[in-house]
Order: sequence, then C-alpha cells, then structure tokens
Amino acid sequence: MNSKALLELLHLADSALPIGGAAHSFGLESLIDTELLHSGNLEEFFSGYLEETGALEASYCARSCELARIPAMERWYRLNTELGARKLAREPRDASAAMGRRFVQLAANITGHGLLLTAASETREVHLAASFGFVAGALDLDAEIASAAYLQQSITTLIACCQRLLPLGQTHAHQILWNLKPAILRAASGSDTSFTPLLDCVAARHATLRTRLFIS
Amino acid sequence: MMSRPARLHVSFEFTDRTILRVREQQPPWRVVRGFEAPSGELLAHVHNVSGGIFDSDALHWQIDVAPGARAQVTSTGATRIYRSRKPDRTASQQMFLKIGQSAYLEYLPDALIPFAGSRFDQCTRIELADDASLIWWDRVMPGREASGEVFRYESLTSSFEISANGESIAIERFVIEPRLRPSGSLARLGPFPHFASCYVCRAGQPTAYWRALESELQTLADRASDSEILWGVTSLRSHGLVIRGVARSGRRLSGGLIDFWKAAKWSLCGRVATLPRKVY
Repeated sequence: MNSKALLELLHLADSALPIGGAAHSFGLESLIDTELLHSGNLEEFFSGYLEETGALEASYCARSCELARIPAMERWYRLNTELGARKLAREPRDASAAMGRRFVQLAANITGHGLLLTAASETREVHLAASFGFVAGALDLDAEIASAAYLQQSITTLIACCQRLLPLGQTHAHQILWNLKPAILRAASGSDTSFTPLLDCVAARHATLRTRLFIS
Repeated sequence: MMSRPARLHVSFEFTDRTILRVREQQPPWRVVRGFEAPSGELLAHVHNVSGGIFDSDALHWQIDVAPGARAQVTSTGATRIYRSRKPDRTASQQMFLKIGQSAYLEYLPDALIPFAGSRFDQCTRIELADDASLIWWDRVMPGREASGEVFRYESLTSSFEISANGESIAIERFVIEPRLRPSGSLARLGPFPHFASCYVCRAGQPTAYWRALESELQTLADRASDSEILWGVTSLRSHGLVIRGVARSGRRLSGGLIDFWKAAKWSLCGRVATLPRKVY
C-alpha cells in the first residue's frame, strides 16, 4: 500500500468521522442493561462479535469494494438490500443505513469522485459496511485491508460507546482494542454466516428501555 | 454420503374452501389428511415416520398455498437429529414454501433437537405473493438436556429467507459449531441455551402497521421477559416483523411463542388462534 492510500484509509476509518457513529450502540446499551455485559468480559464479547457480525459485515465490505472497481452500481444496491434483510433488528438496521448514507455523501464531497457523487445523489438503502467498501474500491484501496480498517473503526466506536455506559477507563479500553487486532484480521477475511440471537433480541428491546443514551 | 432425496409436496387448494392435496410423499414423510381447524384453516400434520432425521437423510419439502387458501401445518413431535456416524455425513433438509395471493399459512412445528455428534444442514425459502400472510415459528434446543447433552452436536447450519412481492425481507444464515465457537459467548446465546423465532408477515401491509404491531407485541415481550428468558420484537425492513426469544428453559420459550402467535394472529386477521390438535 502506498503512502497516499494509507493516509486516505486512515482518514476514512477514523471513528470520529462525522457520520453519527457516536449516537448508536447497535444493541450494546440493551445488553449492558441486562447486566450480562460488563467491563470484565468486553474483550471476550467483542472477540465473538467479530467472529459473527464482524466477519459478515467484512464480507459485504469486501464485495462492495470489488463492485466499485467494475463499477456495478445496480449490483451494489442489490447487495445493500440483501444486507438490510440480514439485519433483522430495526434500530441497528436503521442506524447502519443512516450512517451508510452519510458516509457515502461525505466521501463524495471530500474526494469529488464521480462514482461516489453518483452514489450520493441516489436515495436508495445503503449500509455502512457496504458503503465503506464501495468508497474504498472507488479509491482503489485493497478489499481485505479496507475490511480490516472498517472493523477497526467499528470496534473502536463500539468500545467508545461502552466507555459511556460502563466503568471503563481509557487505558483498559485501548488495551482491549489492541488485544483484538488478531480477531479483527481473522474477521476481515469475511464470512457469509452470522449467529447472534441474543444480540438481535436485546437490540429489539432497546426501544422500550427506561433510560437511553443512544438511538440504537 | 447422501441418499436419494425423500420428497414431500403438499398443496392447499381453494375453491369455496381449502382442500389438501398430497402430490408426492416418499418415506419417511407421511401426511394423512387435513382437519378443519376452528379458526378456519385446514390443518395438516407432517409425520416423519422414522422418528427423526438420520445422518444420510436428504429431505425435501414443498408446500404450496393457493390464492385465498388458509393452512396450518405442524409436526407430530420434536424433530430429532440423530448422531452422524461418519464425519462426511450430514443430514439435510430443504423446504420451499409458496404462499399465493391473499392466502394464509401458519407453520407451527415442535422443537428441533440436535443430538450429540449430529450434523444438520437446513435451507428454507418462503415466497409470499401480494397480500399473502405467514406466521412461522421455530425453536431450537441445545440437545437432549435430560441426558446431559447440551451443545454436544457437531454442527447446525441454517439458511432461511423470506421474500414478499419478489423482495427479500428477512435472511438468516448461520452455522453453530459448539466445539469450535462457544455458543455461550454473549455475541451468540450467552447464558440462554434455547432460542426461538416467530415471523409474522403480510405482503403489502404498510410499515406503519408493523411499527404499531411491534410496539403492541413488545409490551407483551417486556412483561414476559426476566432473568430466565428474553423476548424482543422488531419490524423487518418491510412486510413483517420477527419476535426473537432466548431462554434458559425450553418450556417457557414454547409457552411464550403461543402467546405471541395468539396476539399476532388476532391483529393480522382478526381470528382466534387455536392450537393444532395433537398431544402436547
């Protein structure tokens, strides 16, 4: 990877990118509310999360990267529709779609890339993992590295969300993130399956939580 | 090794009432007759006369529900997945369900029980035409708990898809391999070894309807949830919702599914739900 590509990837994978990531917990707030998830088992949880949700999203990210290279916009929209059908819980699905749309629009505006400007002008359902891959593909970044970078920013955002919900210090949070690097790399190779019934269940319960810090 | 597929093809036809036609049935399948349920559906029991699914079984189902027909399908007992005798033997089941315009199908089977050492691969595709309705539940146990078999199966693979008016609305593809990836991870089942789903769908019904039903059923879910069982209700991307449950005990999950089914059926079609006649 050349230096320019590395800088572009670092920019796009910054968890502070203004696409609304800080407003969503993707079900973690409800899981913490059950008192099953706490600062002592976060690393183990995220390791399993990467094997299931992470690997699934990585596969859509990588496929989107390839579709952007062709380019094949219609196939990419169909892939997004499929990913939407795989996200059973409404709040995380809506969050993924809102962030995906914002990500494409932001990337189109800052890069001025023709393909991304076309994608940004459409209002069809696009999800964050697929949008990240599509933008990476348009910028000619490597699919598997892009998937790993996507997972890195995704887990960073989720751990930051846990810092707001749990007694979790900066050093501990970064230790967890550091320790998860091998799991991120394994998940980046992708999977077409995902088994997360507990997370689906608690994510669906989020709307009726008594107190909520996050939208999902 | 895989034996020749055993086929079952039944159709529910409709003229002035729903009629059951068994178009093809090969052992171990047996569908005897249809019974008129008090709630207006025609009930069919699908028997697996071998008592369970063996490692070389390749089972194919097809259920067609003609436009306007109303059907209720159930099993006659839990689906037992027997131990796989060799590593290359995986039992499989493929189901294809087609629900015609303004037709209605309830699929209410007993639980799936994967025995220690079993390998099972199931694939289900459901197509709903415009205004077609579906209530579908499934429940998976961790094994033969009474014999101390909990997550001792080799693999359980599932591919499940519902489409409505030609559009995919729900896709689940999962692989459970308890020996390779612990089911007790909070990312999977956590402390709840039993899990269940109930899909409630009608093609063409607007999003606002599903949001309202989601809210109504989530009230029921909140009341039914505690430290032993959790229920969540969520709208699909369109045309339906799914109720998801995880529990420490299968019995409570089973009772909860019945409560959700009753409430959802009343809302969806204004008919009182009646449990299929069989021994419980």
